[in-house]
Amino acid sequence: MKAGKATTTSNKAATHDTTMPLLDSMYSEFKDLSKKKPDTAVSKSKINIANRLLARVRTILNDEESIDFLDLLDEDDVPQVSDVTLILSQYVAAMEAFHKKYHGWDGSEYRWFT
Amino acid sequence: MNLIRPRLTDFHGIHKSQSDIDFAIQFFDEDIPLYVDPFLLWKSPSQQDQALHTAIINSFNHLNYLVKKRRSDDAIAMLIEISECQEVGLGVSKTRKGVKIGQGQAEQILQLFHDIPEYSQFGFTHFEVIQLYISGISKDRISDIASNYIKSFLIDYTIEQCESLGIPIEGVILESIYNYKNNALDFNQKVYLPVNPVNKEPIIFTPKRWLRFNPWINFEDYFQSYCPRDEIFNPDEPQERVKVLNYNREHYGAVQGYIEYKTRNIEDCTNDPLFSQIPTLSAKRKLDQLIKLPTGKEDGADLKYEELSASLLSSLFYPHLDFAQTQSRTESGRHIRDLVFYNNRDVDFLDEIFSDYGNRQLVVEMKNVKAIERDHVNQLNRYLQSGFGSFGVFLTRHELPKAIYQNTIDLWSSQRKCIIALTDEDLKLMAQVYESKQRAPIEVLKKKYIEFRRSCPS
Repeated sequence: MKAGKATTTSNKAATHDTTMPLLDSMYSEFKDLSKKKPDTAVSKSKINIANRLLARVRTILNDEESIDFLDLLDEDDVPQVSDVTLILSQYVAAMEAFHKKYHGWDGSEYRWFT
Repeated sequence: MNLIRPRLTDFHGIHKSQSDIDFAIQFFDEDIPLYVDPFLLWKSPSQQDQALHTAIINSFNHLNYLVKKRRSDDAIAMLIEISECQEVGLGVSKTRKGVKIGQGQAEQILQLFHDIPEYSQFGFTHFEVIQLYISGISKDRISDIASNYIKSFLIDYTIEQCESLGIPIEGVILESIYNYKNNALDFNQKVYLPVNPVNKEPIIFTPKRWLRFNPWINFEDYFQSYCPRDEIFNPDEPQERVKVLNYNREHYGAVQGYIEYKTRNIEDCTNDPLFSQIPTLSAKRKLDQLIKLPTGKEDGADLKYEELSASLLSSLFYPHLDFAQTQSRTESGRHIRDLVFYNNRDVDFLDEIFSDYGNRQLVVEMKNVKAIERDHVNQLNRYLQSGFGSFGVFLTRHELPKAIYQNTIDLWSSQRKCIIALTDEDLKLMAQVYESKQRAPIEVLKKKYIEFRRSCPS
């Protein structure tokens, strides 16, 4: 193991591997929508889908400092597409930081440091 | 309790919107401007509705039997008696009272059985056509005669609906009920029905699905779309109704052709909703006009603002809030208009403002001003003391100035009064969700309320 690399749990690493592609694709979908009509209100069902994913992502990030800046979507606020895009972009950034922190070259392969 | 233009359901504390209820909810003070159209019963896929139509037609054709048996007097008396049915509360009367037809008109109707051999021999299949023969018979008569013939059914229907909704009923005496078994009227019958709390008059419900603004078969439509006008009028002659009616009496084929034509287009015959939302396109157009309006009163901008927002909001809030009325009142020498909605409590937010603020109705005060001032808030605040509950809405152009917003928060802190401002921006968002159908526009009001509550001290 490379010295000085922080470690996380293997559970978190596995969840990261599952959720990151989903988060990425959701982010790019909303980014596209947001380019067309940024002020469109997002339907409740979309908010629920997004929140379900974000809740899982938060379990990975719950020990990171970035969690303080990450909120779930509040359907009562009638969020617009651009709001959702902004929030998702923060999650994506936090997840990438997480990946960078705990994943790397151990001398023979790229892997999670757990 | 001080409700603006109460309906039967609101009066009895039943918080359901018109769209959730099978019958047309009646007002106590005036008629609903819709009519029972027998054609809708005939067209209905339900065997019960069709059977009721058959009952109406058989009963009407029974008059022919009476005439042939030389009992014309009985037939006339019957026709006069059934020509008005005020319990159903349909029509345009402001007082819910109507008048029966006269002897002469009754005789004219019965004369049709004599003058037109087809009716004499086979009877009517759609008795609405009497509008095409007799002057002074119009949609309200058709509706009343049809309602009277099936009154017994409607009474049962009313009782059933009252039981399921919990509307109280009491014993009343009805002047007459048509008895299908012996084709005669039973007079002074005691039945159990809901009553108008003011004058104790009985109320009978009619299913929404039978109601139209105009019967499918009506004179104006016949005159516009089918009547062979060239044959009836000489060129440059004034087009008088009587001539058309006389022509019809002599040309049974023309009327018959019209019925066939209407039957062919049966797919287009649907009931009229009691309230229909404006189409998205027109909502957008109205919003654009509204946004462009200047603030203030110049060129009647304030009136225009009220007009546009009334029609916009009543559609945007439907079906969660049924529109009650625009109210005018004068205070401090100015003319102020509000929109009043019935609170149906069908979403959690509306239920909350009912239970927390006592709003059986919701008042929206429209203010086309640059900035809401302390006076405006005081006005609305005073208004909220008089039976509207303590939740009120400003519809205005811009966000409340900081000091005024603080003022509304203080009002909440000290008196638990809640005043929310809906602005142009909110209207835009509401129109946008109305168009995209992603959310309900009422949620924008909820959002504003939640934002307000977040600013309030906990």
